[in-house]
Amino acid sequence: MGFCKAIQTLQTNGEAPVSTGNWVQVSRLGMPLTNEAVIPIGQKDFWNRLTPYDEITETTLDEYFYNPELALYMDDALFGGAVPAFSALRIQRNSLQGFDFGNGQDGLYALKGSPLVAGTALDDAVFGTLLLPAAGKPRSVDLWPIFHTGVPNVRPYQLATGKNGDPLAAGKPFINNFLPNGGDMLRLNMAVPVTDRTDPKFSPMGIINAAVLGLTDPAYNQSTAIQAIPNMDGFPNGRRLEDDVTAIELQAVAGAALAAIGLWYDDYTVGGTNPVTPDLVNVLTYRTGVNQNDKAFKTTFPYVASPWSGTEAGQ
Amino acid sequence: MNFQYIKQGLLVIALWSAAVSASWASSHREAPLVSNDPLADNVDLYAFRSPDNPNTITIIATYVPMQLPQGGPNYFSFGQNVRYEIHIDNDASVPGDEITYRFTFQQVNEDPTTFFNIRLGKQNLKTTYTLEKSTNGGASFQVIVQNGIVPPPNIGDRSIGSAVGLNTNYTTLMNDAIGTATTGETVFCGTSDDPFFVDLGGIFDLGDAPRQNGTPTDGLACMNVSAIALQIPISSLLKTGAPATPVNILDPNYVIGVWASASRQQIRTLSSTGDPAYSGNWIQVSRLGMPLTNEAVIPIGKKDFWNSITPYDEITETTMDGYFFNPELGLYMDDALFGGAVPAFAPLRIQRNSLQGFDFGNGQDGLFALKGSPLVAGTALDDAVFGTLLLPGAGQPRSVDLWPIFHTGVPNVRPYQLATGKNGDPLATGKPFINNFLPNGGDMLRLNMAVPVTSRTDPNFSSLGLIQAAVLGLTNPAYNQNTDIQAIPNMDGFPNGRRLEDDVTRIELQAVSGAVLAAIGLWYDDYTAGGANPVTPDLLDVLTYSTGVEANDVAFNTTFPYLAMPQSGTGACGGSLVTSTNDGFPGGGTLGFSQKPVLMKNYPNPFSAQTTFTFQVNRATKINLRIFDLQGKFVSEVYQGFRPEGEFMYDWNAAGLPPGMYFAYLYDGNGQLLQTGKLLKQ
Repeated sequence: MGFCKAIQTLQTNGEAPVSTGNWVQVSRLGMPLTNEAVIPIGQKDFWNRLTPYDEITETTLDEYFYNPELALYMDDALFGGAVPAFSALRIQRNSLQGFDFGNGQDGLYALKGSPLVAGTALDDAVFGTLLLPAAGKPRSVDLWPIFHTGVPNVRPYQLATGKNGDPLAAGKPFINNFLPNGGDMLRLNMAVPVTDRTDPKFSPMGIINAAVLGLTDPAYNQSTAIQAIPNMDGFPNGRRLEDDVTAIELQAVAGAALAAIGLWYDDYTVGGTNPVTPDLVNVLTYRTGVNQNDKAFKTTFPYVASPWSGTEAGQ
Repeated sequence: MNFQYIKQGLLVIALWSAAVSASWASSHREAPLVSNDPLADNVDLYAFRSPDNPNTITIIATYVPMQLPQGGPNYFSFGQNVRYEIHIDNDASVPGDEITYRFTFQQVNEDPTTFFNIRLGKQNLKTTYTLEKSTNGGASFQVIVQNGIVPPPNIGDRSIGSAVGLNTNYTTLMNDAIGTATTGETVFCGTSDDPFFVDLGGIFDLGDAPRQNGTPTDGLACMNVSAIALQIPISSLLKTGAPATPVNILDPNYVIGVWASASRQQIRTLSSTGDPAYSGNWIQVSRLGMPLTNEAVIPIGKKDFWNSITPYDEITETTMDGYFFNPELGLYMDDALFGGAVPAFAPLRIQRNSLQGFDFGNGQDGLFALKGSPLVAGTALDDAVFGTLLLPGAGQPRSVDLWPIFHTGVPNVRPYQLATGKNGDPLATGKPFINNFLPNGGDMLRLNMAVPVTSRTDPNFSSLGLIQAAVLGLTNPAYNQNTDIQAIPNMDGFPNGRRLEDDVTRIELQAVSGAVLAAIGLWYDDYTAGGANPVTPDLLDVLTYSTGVEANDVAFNTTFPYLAMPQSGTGACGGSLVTSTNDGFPGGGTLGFSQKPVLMKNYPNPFSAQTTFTFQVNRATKINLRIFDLQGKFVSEVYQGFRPEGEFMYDWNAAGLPPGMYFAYLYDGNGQLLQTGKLLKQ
C-alpha cells in the first residue's frame, strides 16, 4: 500500500512541499492484475482507496469477478472473435453437458440448495451464500473466491483425481488458502512444502502445474491422499518470483480451475474416457510468449536480481 | 547515430544487456522535486525558423520524460491539473513576457466499463486541450483554441488500426490533431518520439562520454515524450517598433527569448473517496530555457530553487551566476584540477594560457585584466557599453562566454565576432556570426529570427549549429575572405535558438572547454601568438570531440510539427528487442537465459547499413542464424557453423535491403529454434 498525507502545499521558493493531515491510501496491491485487468477504468482509482477489509461490505466491485471483462474475449458468442490472440482460451459453455460459465449465465447456481451440494463449500449451511450468491454470476465459484477468500480444501475444490466423474465428490487435495477475512489479498498456506527451484518439476505455472501433475502424473494421481505435489506452493497459493501470473490468470479466466476440479471443457462428453480434450490442452498450453523474467533471480534473500546499470540500459 | 565510434572490441560488455529497453537513468528528471512529478517536468525546448515555412518560428516544448511506448494500460499523457506555458520575450525594455501561451488539458473516459485504453472505437483518458494567450505579461488571457485534439497513445496496431480499435492509422491521427488558433498560430499537442538524443548512461556515470569501455548509446532511443508545438508568424513575434523586414540577417530587433514552464496549484487535498482537490495559487514547479542548464550546470542543492524562479528573477537573483563563471564541468577539463579523473573528456581542455596571457581555468581571471583598459574601449567588455555584465570581477573567467550565452545572448559587437579578419587581435572587428543579445533576465533560448534557415538537405547542414558556422566562417573560403555579414550555414542553429537536430550536449561541452573563446580568437594554449596557423591540435581535439551519440534514433518529419511519430507500444521499441520462444508446457525449470546453449544480441538496433550480432555460447553447438522479412520470406543466412563455448561476433551487412522490420531466427544444430529477435533497418 502507498499512503500520502491528505494536504500537500507547494512552496514558492523551491523548498520541498509541506504535507499535513491524515494519511490517505493512494495505492494498494494484493493479487496481481486485479486493478489492471479486472477492475474497469472507471473504478480503478476507487479500488486503490479501499482496503481488502472494506470489501466485506463494499461489494459493488464483485460483479467484475462474477462476470469478468476478460471473459468477453474468451467466448465465441460474445467478443471472442475480436481477440484472436485468446483463441486458445475458451470458457466452458456446456461443461458436462449441463453447466454454462459464460458471462451472464448461471454456472453452478442450479445446484444451490440441492442435496448434491450438501456438505460441500457450495452448501449455504457450510459457507453461507458466499459462493452461490445469485443466478447470472457464473464465476462466483472460481474467480471470485480465488481473489476474495482463497480456496478451501473442501469439496468441490479438490482435483478431479479420484472423483470418478463427479466434480462434487471428494478428490485429490491441492490447495487450502481459505481465509474469508475480506477482499483482495495474496493468500498463502505456509504449511505447503517448498518446491525446489532446481526441481525438474518446478514450474512458473504454479498451482496450474500442480493440478496438471495431480491429474496426470502417476506419482500423484493414484489416490485422493494429501500429497505434496510440486508447485502447490505457487500462485495463487501465495506468489513466487518465477510464477507467470499473467498466463495463470488468463487460463483461470478461461476456466482452468473449473476443469481441474472436474468441470471439463465442452468437448468432453460425460462418461468419456479422457477428459484431456483438445479444448483443455489449448488452455493449458496457452502462453503469452513472455514466460520468465529477463534476468535470473538470485538463490538467496532478497532473491530479486540486481538492478540494471545505467550504462548497460538501452544497449 | 554515428557508427564510426563503435569500436568492435568494446562491444561485448554493452551488448549483453541489449534485451532490455526499460530501466534507464534520466536526462530530464533533472531536479529532485520535479523528478517525482513527471507530469509537470519540462523535458526540452526548441525554437527555430521553420525550414519549410521561413516566415514562421516553430517552438516545441516537451514534457513528461522517458515514456515507455508500452507503458499501459494507462499510457502517459499531459496532466489535467498542470498549466503548461510557453513564454516569449522580445523587448528587454519591458519587464516580463510579451507573449504567454498557456495550455491546459482535460480527460474523459468514453467507455468506463473496460480496462483497455481503446476498445471498439471508444477511447479512455481521451485528452483535449485549451490554449490561452496573453499579450500583457500574463495579466489577462484569451482562449485561442478550445477542445483541441490530442491524439491517443500509439498503443499498437490493434488499438489504432483495426476495426475493434479506432480503425485508422497514426499518421492520420497526428495530422488531424494539427489545429489553428484564432490568432493564427498552428498548434499540435500530443505524444511523439523524444527528439532528444544523449548517452545518458555514459554521461551521468561521472562524465563517461564517449564511453571509455563501452558503446555509446542513445539513452532516450525508443522513448516517447509529450510535446507541445506552435508555429507562429514572425510578424506576430516582433517587438513593438521593429521593422517589418530585418535591416540585416543579424538585426537586433529580431531577437526573441523563449522559455517554458509547468505550474501546479499550491494545495492538493487527497480524498479518501474520490479525486484529489486542487486549490490555491499556481506555483511554478519546472522551467526550461537553455538545454542542460539545470542538469549539468546547477548543482543539486540549487536545482529545485532554480526551477521555482523565472528568467526575469535572475536579473536580481544572481547567486547562481557563480556556476557559470566557474562551471563544475570546467573542473573536469583542466589537468591542473580534475581533468585526469574524467578520461572521456581528455580532448576537451580549457585555455589556461591563451595567447600566452589569458587563463580561463576555474578561479582564474580570464579577461578581467583588460577591464577598464583602452584595449576594450568600445567593445562589449567596456563598462561604458554594457556596464559590468561581462567583467563583473576577478576570479570569474567564464563571465565573458558561458555566462552571456546562458543569460543575455551574445551581441554582434567586438569581441564577439569570429577571428576571421581580426589579424590576431581578438578584440578587433571580425566576421559577424551571431546576434541573439536580449539582456532581459536569465536563462532563455534566444533566437535571432532574421538569420536565414539552413536547409536540412544542405551539405553544410550540421548538428553542431553555431560551432559549425564558426568553423565555416574561419576556414571556408566562401566565408572567410572578409568581415562582411554573410549568411553562413548553421547560424540558425544552437545556441541561436535550437533546432531538433542540434547536438546540444556536444556543443555545450565544447563551449565549456572554450570553443567560443577560440572562435573569437582566444586560441588554445598550443598556439603561439603570431603563429601562422591557429588551428592547432588542441583546437582540433575540441572540435572533433563527440559523445558518440550525434543524432536522434529516428528521422524527423519535414513538415510541422517535425517531430517523429511516437514509438508504438507493440513496435520495435515496445519492450524487449530480443524475445525468447522456447518455453514449453508444462513449464520447464529454466530460470533465466543463462541455461540456454546460445544467447544472441545485436547492436545497433535500429541500424542503417550494418548490425553486429554477438553470440554467447554456453555449450558448444552448431549455430544457424537466418533472417526473414516481415512477410516471412527468407532473406539470408547470416551465420552457420560449429562454435565452442565463448563469445563471438558476426557482422551482418544489410546495405542492399529496403528499410523495414526483419526477424532473426537462431537455431541450434538440430534445427530447434532457440531465440528470435526483431531488427529494424532504417
